[in-house]
Amino acid sequence: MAAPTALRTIGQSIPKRDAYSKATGGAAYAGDVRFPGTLEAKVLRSTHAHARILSIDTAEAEALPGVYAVVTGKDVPPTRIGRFIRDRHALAREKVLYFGEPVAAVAAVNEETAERAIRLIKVQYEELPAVFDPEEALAPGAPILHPDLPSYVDTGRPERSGNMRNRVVHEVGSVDQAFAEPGLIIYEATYRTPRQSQAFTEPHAAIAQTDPDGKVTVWAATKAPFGERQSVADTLGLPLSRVRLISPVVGGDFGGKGAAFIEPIVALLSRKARRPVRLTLSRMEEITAMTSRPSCVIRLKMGVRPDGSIVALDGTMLMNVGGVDDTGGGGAGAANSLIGAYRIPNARVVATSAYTNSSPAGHVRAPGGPQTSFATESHMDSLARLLRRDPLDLRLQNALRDGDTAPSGHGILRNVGLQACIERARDWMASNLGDIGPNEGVGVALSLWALHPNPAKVNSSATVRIDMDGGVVVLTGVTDQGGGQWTIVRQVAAEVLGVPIERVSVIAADTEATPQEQGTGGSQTTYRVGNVIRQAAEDARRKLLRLASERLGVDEEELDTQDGEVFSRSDGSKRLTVAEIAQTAGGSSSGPIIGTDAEDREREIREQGEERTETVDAPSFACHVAKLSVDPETGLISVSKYYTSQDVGRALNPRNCKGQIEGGVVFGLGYALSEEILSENGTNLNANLWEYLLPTAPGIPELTVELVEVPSTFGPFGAKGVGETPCIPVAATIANGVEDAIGVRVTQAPLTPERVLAAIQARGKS
Amino acid sequence: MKMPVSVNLNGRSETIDVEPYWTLQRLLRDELDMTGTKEGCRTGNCGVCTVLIDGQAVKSCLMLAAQTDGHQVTTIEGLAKGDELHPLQRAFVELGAIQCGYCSPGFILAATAFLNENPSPTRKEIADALEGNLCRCTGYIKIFEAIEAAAVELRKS
Repeated sequence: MAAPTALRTIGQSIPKRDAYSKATGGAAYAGDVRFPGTLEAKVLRSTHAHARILSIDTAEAEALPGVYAVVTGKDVPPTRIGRFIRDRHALAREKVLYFGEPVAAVAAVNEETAERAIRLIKVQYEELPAVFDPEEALAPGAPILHPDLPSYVDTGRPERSGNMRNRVVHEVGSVDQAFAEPGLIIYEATYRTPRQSQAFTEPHAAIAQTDPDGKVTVWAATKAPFGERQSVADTLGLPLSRVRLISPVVGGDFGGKGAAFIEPIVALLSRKARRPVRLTLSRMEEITAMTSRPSCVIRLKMGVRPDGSIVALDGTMLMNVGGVDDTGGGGAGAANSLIGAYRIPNARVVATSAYTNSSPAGHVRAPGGPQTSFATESHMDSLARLLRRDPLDLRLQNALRDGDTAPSGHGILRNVGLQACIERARDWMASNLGDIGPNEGVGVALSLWALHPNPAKVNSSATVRIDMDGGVVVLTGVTDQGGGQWTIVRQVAAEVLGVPIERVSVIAADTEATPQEQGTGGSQTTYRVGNVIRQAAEDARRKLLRLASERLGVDEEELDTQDGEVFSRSDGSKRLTVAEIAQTAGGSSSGPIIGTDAEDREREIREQGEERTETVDAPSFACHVAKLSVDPETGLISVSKYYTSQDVGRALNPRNCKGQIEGGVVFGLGYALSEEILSENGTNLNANLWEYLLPTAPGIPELTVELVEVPSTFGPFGAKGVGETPCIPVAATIANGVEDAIGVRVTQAPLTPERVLAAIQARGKS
Repeated sequence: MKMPVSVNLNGRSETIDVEPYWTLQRLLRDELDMTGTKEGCRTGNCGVCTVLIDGQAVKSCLMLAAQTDGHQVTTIEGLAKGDELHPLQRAFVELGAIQCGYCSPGFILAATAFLNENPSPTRKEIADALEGNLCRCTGYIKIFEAIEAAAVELRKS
């Protein structure tokens, strides 16, 4: 790859260009897009957790003045939709599977009329036996939610039957034999984790417009416009080319915006009403009927030798994925993260997810991560206590190292920054923790993400175009839901082409204007999309240099670019601006300068002497430390200091990179301390922002983030993923701090005052 | 039936006909297409719809449009002086306080009102003052830093 002489923009904290319009109120999110004659939509939702729909009478609603369209399951084809498994319809057809499932929708001149019309729709249900507990759902005789499950289209081919959505069995070594080792210390515990809402500040919103010739355009708050286009096209029975999805700026995603729950509905309405139709969900709808992190029960057993080496692990995970599933299988695919950041020669994990009549499960920042980490990292502390070992010491002794096989058994770990993170954390603890008072304690935990070989197919491409004035336009399908993706795109293109960052702009996330992209997520955008942008920019650079070489009469190898100029390295007087070259390009035989990502990734890696399938080149690790106090009277936890060291490979934009980590830690603090969707008979009880408790400004501890940089081999400029890792180990860090402070172990997250108090009282009785 | 409301909106005196049940948020977003005022919960919990009424931070989802009669309303669209950003806006942009940005107008306006009352706040005072505004992206740290930087800037001017 063409390595520029000295880095100009990579490593700089370039402010986000979109931040200007966001700060002044000019940024148009999906709910801000306006067209003349736009109708307002409302959704009628199921009032039962499990029921057969006997009839829907829409006559009165349709007769209400100001109503333009009413749609029900009758307007939806039998084809099921879904991001991973296709297990649902945009509007329920025969049965409803969860409280709040969309049953009908209305488009009217204003919100009041739409609301009134919704109330005029009469639905007759026949209630069916419902099941809410995943264990009960898997028991014989349980009501089956999806009788046709085996025939559903799924991205993977998991074991599934009855209400079992997915089961993953992961085994390395000989687990039973290993546990039989004489003298082995065995510790067993059960951990419970909550359902967590993504709780982005911007609710789901979409506006659809249908052309007179039937083509549909949807502006939507989504991170996966290309995937959603499929769901809209399938629901409307249109070819992909007749549906256009545009994702403007997105007000937070955290995994929740990409599943096409509302987009097909507004599209149906706009086609029927022949007017633009928009819908913004209420917060109650968000927490009642949209996706959340699946709750999880984990049973974990570990065997450790007296010298501290862990030799065996046996664990089961059971996840509740609700009535329809947008998780890709409950995060069961992440089952091997239950093994943690450790070399454990004998390990078995059985991860199961079950359909129940609860609200849908979906991706929430680091799918599978916080659940497994809460169990494993709590367990590590309990082992340390049994062995009377320093918890960080025991972790370091068993920590994964460079050259180890990944816990999944697939791939060799390279560029491991875990030891460096632990050392930095130790240094910080030595000089920053201060005195530890009564009821005060310190918790530690490790984090891991992306311990797998990166895929061959990146499901992304890009085009880099150089304009007549020397400006650079990058066309990419990637969305920016706040993570600064578009800024990274600009920085990478500017760096490769040697043009000032101000001259680079991005056209993004429009299925008709930009190349295919699978969607932002998994902490993979900088790594995956960053590489694609690099390749496309390198292609444009080659074309630029070829033209410059012809004009200047200098060999291409002699040429370099910097500050928007191409120049000869040996004769500085021979130079042309990028604009001068671009102006002649149009008339040249090679045509305008357009770069595409032509390089085969598999080949690029092989050229470096490595095999892609064997190389885990961008593993992400972090070490977390919390100092906290517990009020023994109320059970309230106060976190005073929080520290994390994280290996980011290379910080392409250090300020944004730290911002991701700070936000991730606080996201994790919510999961650790207060966030939990409470439910009774399938109805979510705290579907609002005064009872679903998010972290607020006064509760934020003094937070220190240290960036560790152990570059990846194949990420752009050495970058690794950043965004998920910081939210993963926070709940365990807090639980470990609580035990250090007051000597009780809390095994259920979040650690609400009630739970801490109950644990204190339970200890008093024993 | 609509009723006329005389309001000074971002420095301009206007008379607007409003329905008595419209919230200020609805008037701004849906009737005047001033979408810098966001919508996140409509229950006064998230703060993304914060505006200034006579310089005080108010959640526009909890106030009726008719109640603005005779008052000054400042929205995020009215904070900059032409192309010159307010010091808070500049600090939010330059110091990474904006990720998804959906909460930013509300935070910037809440902080504007707060710094007017307390030009030299401690970190704790800033955090306490912003309890009514939720941010899901930043963990609040860069927001605190931006407000501290803007406070220094504002004290100079």
